[in-house]
Amino acid sequence: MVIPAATDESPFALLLPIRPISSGSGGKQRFQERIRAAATEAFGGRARLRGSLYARITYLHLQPAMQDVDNLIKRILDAMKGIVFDDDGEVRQCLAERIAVADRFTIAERRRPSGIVDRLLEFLAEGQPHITYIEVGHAARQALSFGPIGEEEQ
Amino acid sequence: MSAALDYLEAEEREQLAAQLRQQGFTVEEDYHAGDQIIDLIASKGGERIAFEVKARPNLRNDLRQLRELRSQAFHEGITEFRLVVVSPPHQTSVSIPGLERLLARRMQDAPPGSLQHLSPNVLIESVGSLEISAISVTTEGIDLTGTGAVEVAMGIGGSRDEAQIPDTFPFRFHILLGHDLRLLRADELDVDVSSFEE
Repeated sequence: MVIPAATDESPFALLLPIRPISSGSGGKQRFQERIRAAATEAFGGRARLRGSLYARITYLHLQPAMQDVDNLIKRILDAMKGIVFDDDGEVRQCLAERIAVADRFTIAERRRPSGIVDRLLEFLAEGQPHITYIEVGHAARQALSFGPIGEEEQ
Repeated sequence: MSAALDYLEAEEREQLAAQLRQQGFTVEEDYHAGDQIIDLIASKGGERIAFEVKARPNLRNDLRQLRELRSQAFHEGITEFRLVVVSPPHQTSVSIPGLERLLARRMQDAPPGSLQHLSPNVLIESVGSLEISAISVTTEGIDLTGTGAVEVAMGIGGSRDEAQIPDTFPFRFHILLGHDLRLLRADELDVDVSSFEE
């Protein structure tokens, strides 16, 4: 399921009920084709993002998973090259994480309700075993941070 | 909503409110926003965060309500909306054929002291409602811990006019079964008769 970004100012966002294939495992081509098709549908017509970019990749899984999150990044960014941005070298910040939905977790929205959250809740309610969220936008600033990621969230 | 999920959500709300207060937030519980009620509103400085706790199995029925709640929360000037999703503990299904019969036979052969204390003529009728809390399989056998209920008939009075009083008591067990499912050892077989003594 593709969630188009709301405006040209918004980051590119995709929510798909699929399991990300990490680099080094099989099914690479099919997975990347699916990402490419979804990205084209969601992003087609918009000017590619340029400059310093961030990428956020979140894999939500219902069953226990052992997937290395560091391996998720490369294939997804490669698949979006030429559609969302020209070169994945422009991505200077990247957060890859996985969330076990059978454990407690939080979904945070800022400023206004998001269509992505509506769709995410539908996927969760349907019991989708694998959900992948991809977001790419302009990096806000360069800053060196310390401590656990997202510790400010309950 | 089932009572268990209701309890799960209520417990999470309570813990969350306590945690937020500890972090210096002012917390309003059951905040009325239009015709919606938000579980918690936490405020500190210019921040005003709405928290809604939902058990994952309830999402399916509450999707529409959540959409309206989020929309109303932002309409009320909330800076952030956080949906906390909790899940019931994962349950593992364990079944051991004939375990009830094994435990009943063991109690018949050697009635637990607490039952004998109630009546020297105690008849073990059956064992049921078993819940296994821990299982460990080793080369020695299958080590099981759990709880159950034993149905008994106790002889009260003289031998000829003895009345049989039926009763059911909870018990705890810790036993070792062989790999052929025969009972090798009963380390614990404690029947709680406190309900009778009351």
